[in-house]
Amino acid sequence: MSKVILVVDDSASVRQVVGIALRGAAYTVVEASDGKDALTKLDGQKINLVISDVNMPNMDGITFLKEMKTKANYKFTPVIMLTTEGAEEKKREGQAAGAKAWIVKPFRPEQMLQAVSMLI
Amino acid sequence: MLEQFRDSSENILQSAHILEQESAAVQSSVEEVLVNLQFQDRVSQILGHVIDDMEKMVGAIADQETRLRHGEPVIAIDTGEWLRSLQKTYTTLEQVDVHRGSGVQAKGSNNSEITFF
Repeated sequence: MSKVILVVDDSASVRQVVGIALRGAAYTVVEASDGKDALTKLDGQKINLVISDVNMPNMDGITFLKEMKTKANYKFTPVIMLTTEGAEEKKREGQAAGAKAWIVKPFRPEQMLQAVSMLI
Repeated sequence: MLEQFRDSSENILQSAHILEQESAAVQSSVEEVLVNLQFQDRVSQILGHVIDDMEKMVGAIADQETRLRHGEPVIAIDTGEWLRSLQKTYTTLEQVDVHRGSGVQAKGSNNSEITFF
């Protein structure tokens, strides 16, 4: 059974780009449009890894990450932040919230897939 | 007959090789498209910030016009505070670079930063 990756981004085109790269590498992809939507998608579902944007309406990526880590089933699920934010301060925030990796857009698909394969 | 078979095999091998090359070229093109779509996302975010700030400026000017019409004194806009407030909305390093006047550090997609914690 293929591994399941939750992709969280308010941009439909970015979700598509990430989805194409992941599906091409035989991962199953679940999409969410913001942190709040992602929390509902998490509910009870087996998720092997999360790829999340930072700046999103309703609930940003850092807040979502913190919320996710409070849930027993997802406490140890690795999270990659995929974002336009490159500032060190923001990266430290992500690290403190529990992110395993930080990728600054734009990214090349093979780089993202390499990061994914290192985590799951 | 054997020669015919050999010729056919060679043609098939050649076609397979060409297909492989074309497949690699298509894959490379698709990857370029995937990267370029992300630039669109970045530009869209930056433009969104610019538009929001312009709308904020329009609102501030309208307020001042209202004050003038009521005979009230115009309050000078604190440009330093305005810029500090604008800076807080930035999400890309290019915006920070331009704000500081240090010019845009061109970032190619080949140099995408990946940081592992």
